Amino acid sequence: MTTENGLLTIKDLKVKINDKEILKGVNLKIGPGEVHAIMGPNGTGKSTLAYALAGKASYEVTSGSVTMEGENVLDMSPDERARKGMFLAFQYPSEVPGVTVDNFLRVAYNTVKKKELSIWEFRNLLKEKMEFLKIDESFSGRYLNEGFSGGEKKRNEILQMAVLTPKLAILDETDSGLDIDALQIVAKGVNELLPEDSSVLVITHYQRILRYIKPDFVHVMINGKIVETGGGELAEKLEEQGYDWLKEKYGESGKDNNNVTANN
Amino acid sequence: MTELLGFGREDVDRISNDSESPDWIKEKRATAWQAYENLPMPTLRDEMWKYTDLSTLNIKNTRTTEASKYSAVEKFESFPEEAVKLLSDEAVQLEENGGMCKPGLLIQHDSQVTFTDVEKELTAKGVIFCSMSDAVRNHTDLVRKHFMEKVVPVGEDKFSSLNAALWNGGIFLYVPKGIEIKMPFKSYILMTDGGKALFHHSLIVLEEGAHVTYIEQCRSEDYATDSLNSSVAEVVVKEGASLDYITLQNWGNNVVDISTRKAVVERDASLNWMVGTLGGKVTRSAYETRLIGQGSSTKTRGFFLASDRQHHDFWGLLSHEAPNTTADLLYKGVLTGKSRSVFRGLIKISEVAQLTDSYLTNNNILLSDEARADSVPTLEINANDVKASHGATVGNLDKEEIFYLMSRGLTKSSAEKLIIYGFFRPVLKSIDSEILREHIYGFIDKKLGA
Ligand SMILES: Nc1ncnc2c1ncn2[C@@H]1O[C@H](COP(=O)(O)OP(=O)(O)OP(=O)(O)O)[C@@H](O)[C@H]1O
Ligand SMILES: [Mg+2]
Repeated sequence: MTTENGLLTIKDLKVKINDKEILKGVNLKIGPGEVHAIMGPNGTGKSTLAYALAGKASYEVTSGSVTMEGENVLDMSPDERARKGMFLAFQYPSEVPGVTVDNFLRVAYNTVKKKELSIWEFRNLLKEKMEFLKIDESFSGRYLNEGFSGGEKKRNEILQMAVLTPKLAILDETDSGLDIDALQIVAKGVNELLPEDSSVLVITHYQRILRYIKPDFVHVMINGKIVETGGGELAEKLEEQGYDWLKEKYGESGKDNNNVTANN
Repeated sequence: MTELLGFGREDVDRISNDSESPDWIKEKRATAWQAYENLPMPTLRDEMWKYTDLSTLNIKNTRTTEASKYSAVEKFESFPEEAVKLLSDEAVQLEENGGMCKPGLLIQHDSQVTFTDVEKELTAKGVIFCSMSDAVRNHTDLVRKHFMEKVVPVGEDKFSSLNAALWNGGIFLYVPKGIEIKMPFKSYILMTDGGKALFHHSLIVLEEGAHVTYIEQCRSEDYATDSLNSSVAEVVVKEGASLDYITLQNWGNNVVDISTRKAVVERDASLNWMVGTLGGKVTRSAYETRLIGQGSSTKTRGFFLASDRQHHDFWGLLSHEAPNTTADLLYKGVLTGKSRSVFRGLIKISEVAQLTDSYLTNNNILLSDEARADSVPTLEINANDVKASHGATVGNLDKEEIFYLMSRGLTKSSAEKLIIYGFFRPVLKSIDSEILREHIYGFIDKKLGA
């Protein structure tokens, strides 16, 4: 049912933050049901890409395009993108004092799904997902992320994903800070709680999570560009060899990769 | 300088006659009027009035209500239409309770008590809930001990003196020893016209070990001319007793409200204030709590939502005058438009008040560039073994939080609203009554433009 553009198409995306160019021409195509991973050294722009996709206001898109099912994403406000089916699990989710997880998620669910579930109806839906993700019941009445441990925040992001069942879930280092059991639960959540044709973009530093969430494509981002694309084996190679060989190949700045496009 | 107010001695006499005041009340009125005349009108040079410019008010022509204006009604439904309109939520509740106002309901319309209903069983036990005018005539002994004596003595300041001279509204709530009542006593103060001057003087006395809740709500529509409301409340909470006192000011946009509520709290007793300010043009509210008995405690939870050109001036005093006392005041405000707020709070700990814990916090969120909030929390500590802290913040809504919520599909306005509700939550969750909470949420929704 998707257009020939696939689910998400990013073309030559350049993004500035505070007048500094962070993304320097990103190309990426994600088809329905595909799992993509982006890896890369610290500070190369992975989160910037995630935030830019989600529509963060202070990020200035200076060129390029992003389309989702053929529609121009860059014209949409963050909430329109969410209602269109985009979801970002934040690397550092905000704490929102006084706003309970269940109430917030109910409002979000009703808005995204255009429903009007009552508190009681929603509670059942939420409870089911929480059980699956082994999140203690008491969390539904707690204030959003306030006082949550690092791992609890990550699990809470996945809970939100599970409730909103997006078409595209972007997980920005959701695996960092999770213990081994939690990692498996979260991965299971991503694999089983999303609809079959939902796509996933996993941003990570570790091959570990990719053992559970099997990527169809692995991309490497260096200095604001995707410089290398491969399959699952690329992640293994990175784990063993680090990024030096890529930095050598494409230069520290990634400037020699003009002829490389991330096709899939 | 032109006069701020246009009252004269003749108003005092008229109200004395109208309300059939007993002689001792007439005397108090006369003394109070004298004090009012002698005291200078506060100006911006007075520390206590530094942030509220009375000279800009337009209330000189406000007038007190004539005694015969409204007659008391037996049934809720028999109220004048404009009053019924202001009480729609209460009417629903009454219907649910089969017309019963448990434990007690008292309605004052332009400062005249037009409806009173108290549970008979409670009356039999000695509970009194009636108008202040009735109380000074019918319960003289109980009232006289406290009325304008130690809590708010006559002549203390300009406006409480004016109130003491001209009061014709107000309630008396008396709860004998050991009586505990879960459901709240309720009173409504209604105003259904512009150009009014309402003066309420209330007295609440809880004898040893009594526990009750009292909810007082002010309501009116918007009118063309400005009105003045002055409420003074004196509260006495005796040993081991506890009182929850909830005030919700929901005036229309033309009311100037200058009110003072003061309490003395005795040994092991506690007093919880809940203060909500939603309406009004200029609101000046003072809440003073004196913890005079060992082990006594007080808690204040307050919130306001100011819009347009509303002006809110809050003063809170936590006075620790005995050992082992605790106080905790949290006051939160959201300001939009060109509104303006001032919070002044003082923790005062006397030499004898060792082992005291006291906290004073004021947080404000500005939703517009033209709104302004000032916050002046202060400490005055004369004992050495105490814990006391104060804090104040003025800020904007957090952009990261808004983005986070929007990334989950919430529109900007619903994200903002959720954050504002979250901001108020620590205050509003202390309200037990769901109906009251709904009423407040409804009002906030309306004000934020749902
Ligand atoms: N608000 C900002 N102002 C200035 N520079 C910023 C801002 N936000 C991000 N940057 C810079 O943009 C670059 C890319 O940051 P980004 O967070 O996208 O990196 P990342 O690849 O996600 O790194 P990590 O693996 O450490 O999470 C960094 O150099 C960072 O310092
Ligand atoms: Mg990052």
